[in-house]
Amino acid sequence: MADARHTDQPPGVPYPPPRLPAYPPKITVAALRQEFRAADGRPVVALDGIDLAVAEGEFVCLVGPSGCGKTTLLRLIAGLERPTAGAVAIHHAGRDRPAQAMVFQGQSLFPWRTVLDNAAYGLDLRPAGRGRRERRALARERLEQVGLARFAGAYPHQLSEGMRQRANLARALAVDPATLLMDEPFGNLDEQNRLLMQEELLRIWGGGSAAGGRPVTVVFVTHSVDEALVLADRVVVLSARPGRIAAEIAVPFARPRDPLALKGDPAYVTLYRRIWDLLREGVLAARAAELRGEVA
Amino acid sequence: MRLDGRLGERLLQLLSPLLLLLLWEGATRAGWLNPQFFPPPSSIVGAFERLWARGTIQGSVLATLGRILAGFALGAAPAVALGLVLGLSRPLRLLLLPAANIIYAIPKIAILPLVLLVLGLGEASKIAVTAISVFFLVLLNTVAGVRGIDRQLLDVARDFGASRWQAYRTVALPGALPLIVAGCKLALGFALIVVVGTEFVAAGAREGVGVLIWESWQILDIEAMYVGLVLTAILGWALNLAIDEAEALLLPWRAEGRRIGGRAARQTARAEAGGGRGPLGGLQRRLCALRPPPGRLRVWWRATRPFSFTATLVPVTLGALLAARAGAGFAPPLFLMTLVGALAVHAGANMVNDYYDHVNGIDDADSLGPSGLIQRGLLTPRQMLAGGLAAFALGAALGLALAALRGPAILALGLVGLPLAFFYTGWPLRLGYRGLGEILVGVFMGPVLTLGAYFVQARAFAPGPALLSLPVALLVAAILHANNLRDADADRARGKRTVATLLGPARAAWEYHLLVLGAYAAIALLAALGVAPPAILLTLLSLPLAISLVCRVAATREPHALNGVLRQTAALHLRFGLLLIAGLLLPLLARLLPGAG
Repeated sequence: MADARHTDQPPGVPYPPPRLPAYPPKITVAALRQEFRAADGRPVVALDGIDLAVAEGEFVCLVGPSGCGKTTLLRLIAGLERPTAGAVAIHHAGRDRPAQAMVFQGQSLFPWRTVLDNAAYGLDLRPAGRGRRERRALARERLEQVGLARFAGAYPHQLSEGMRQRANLARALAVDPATLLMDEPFGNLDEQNRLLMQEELLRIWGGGSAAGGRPVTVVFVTHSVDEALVLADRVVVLSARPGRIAAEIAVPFARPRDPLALKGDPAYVTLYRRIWDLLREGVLAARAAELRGEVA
Repeated sequence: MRLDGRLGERLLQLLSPLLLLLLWEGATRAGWLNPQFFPPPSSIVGAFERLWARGTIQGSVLATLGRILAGFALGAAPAVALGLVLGLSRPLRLLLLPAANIIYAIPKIAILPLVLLVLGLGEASKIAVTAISVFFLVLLNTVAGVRGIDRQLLDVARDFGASRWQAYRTVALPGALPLIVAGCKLALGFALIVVVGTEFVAAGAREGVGVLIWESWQILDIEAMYVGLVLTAILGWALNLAIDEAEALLLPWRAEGRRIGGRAARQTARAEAGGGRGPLGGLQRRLCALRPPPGRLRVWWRATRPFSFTATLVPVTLGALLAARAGAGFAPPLFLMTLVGALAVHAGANMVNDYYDHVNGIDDADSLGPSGLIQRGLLTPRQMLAGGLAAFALGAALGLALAALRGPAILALGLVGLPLAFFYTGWPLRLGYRGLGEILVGVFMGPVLTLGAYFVQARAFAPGPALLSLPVALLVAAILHANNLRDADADRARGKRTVATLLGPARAAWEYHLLVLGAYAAIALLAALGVAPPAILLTLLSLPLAISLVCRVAATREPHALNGVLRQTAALHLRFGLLLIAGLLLPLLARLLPGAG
């Protein structure tokens, strides 16, 4: 192979081959390069030479050492930033649902809106002929889906961190986006809540089609290899700064997945090992770069 | 006894102005201060009455307030709009903010001459200077508010496809609102300063607090000048209060301090809030919902059991009103002093009651009883007792001041009333636990308060107020009796003797009927004998509620059902009292209106 990427199956895994991206893909990223200026004016390359295609209905996880540009890539896909070079596109034709909605990292609920009003935020911006009552009813449905209906009237600061993350998810789901872009949405959760939320997310994603039967594509940023293996059809491993795609690894486990059973599976251990080996190089390289930067 | 640190501070805050007034009064009386420059507070009260009767006070306050509000509105609205734009746009900010910062530094009163040149001596220049001073304060605060918004929230708006206008409306404005409100608070304070200042300088205004101060200085009417100063202070304080209320309305997400999971706490808060249904029950609920600054002060506010304050409000208002009817006039400052003093004693009795009920083990965690603040660990018993004594001290101070101003009869009422309020449940007399509660409360919150408030205004006693206070007294006793009916079984178990436990359930229910229906019989009798105008029969409008309550008491002994009766009886008392007041006020207004023209 001319290129360093791996899309091949690990040997001896007794599962059906993964779904390969169908063409035309839902999201395409081509020859993407993103630079920004550091505080001292030096240009810093955050992402370089990124080529990526995500199929409709696919669940892709981006993993990589911290500071490798995972979040930047997600923001570029969302259109919140413009690339220095290259192209990013979400291919979306329908006008009845938005192309994407992002689940932001950390505190991103509006503190002055109640949980229900937060969930209805996207709907309020694009009412599409729906009255206020109808929008609230829709938002309430989504809150029920994430188990927050009882707290619809509360303000975000009255909720626990886990509840806030779920409200965050409900806000994105409420607009019924074709693509969900999720930036470490469960990063601040404790282990138990994280497992529960992963299950809920998979249930909502429904193997590529949401409750309405329409496909939902997910791009999910995480730094947890476990989380990526439980959730994704495909794991994209980014290297340390500048972020490049180090490998794309298909995750062949059948769905619905049982996270606890998976962890006992020898193939899981093999995949975990492989991704971790790729990450370790990146993490060590990043540390070395930091050290050099500090000395220099 | 040693006072808790915080409480000590609050006490100092409350007592130092009072002490200052007393010292001042004493110093002028003793001749240490020249009364020409420092007239005693009592004579300032006299000047207040004089100016009020002439309509000067009302006119001045309205004129000054109008200028403040007009200037504020004209300055704040564009400031918020521009502030949002500058906060979100870096280039515009870099372009305009330095100029704003420079102009902001100029004391606004200093540009008054310039504005006078441009706009002339009239209203316009006063309002313009005020608007300018408000504008820059609110502008800079708004910009800071927008810049303080978490960038991520703006990203959320963009990601959901918000237009520029939507980003302003849904993120920038609500996100900056806390600082905008803070800016408005500052700006209103400055507006007051600037308006009073322009009223000094710019002739052409006939009315205004500043005009009052300035003119009384020119004719050396020092007492009137002090009235102006006091009015300025009251205006500033009232504006502050108004914006605090607005803040609670505009920023509900900040007011709700409690986390979810405190649902039990909210339920008890609702139960404490008490009050019946209907518009008047609403008043009682609002009395409790009034939100003083959060934290300890709120706990103390709840410790006073504000929902019960209507029991004091009604007789005090009744007394003052009857004095006005008798032709003695109505002095608002005296009325306020009476009301606050009576409320302080009432609050003190409530807190002392909480303390002794706790100490004597009459209340425990599952009791429906008083504020429950000790049981929930929000106040220590010692703090509760200290708070009660502090409230008594405030009441005593105001009583002394009233006695000094209006005559020693007030002293006599206080000397009887204060100990009764303390020993109502205080060791060792515990009168309320010996079956005397209803009588005590009925007498105190009926004839005593009504006559006291009457005397403060009229400087005399009269039989009319005493008679008219009887129905109110009966209903207040009915509130307490409803409480004792509810707790009868528990009280019996704990050795607390009330009329309800002494009489037994059947006869105790009859006592309730007698108290409630007796109030209406008394009203009918008073109207028939011509003691009061027939308009007091307005109170009969509350009869349906009274009858439904009597039926409910006849039907049930279940504590939770009686809890509802308790709240509704309190609502009945308030409704009855306000209808009585309205009935007495109607002929008074009818007399005033044609005479005024």
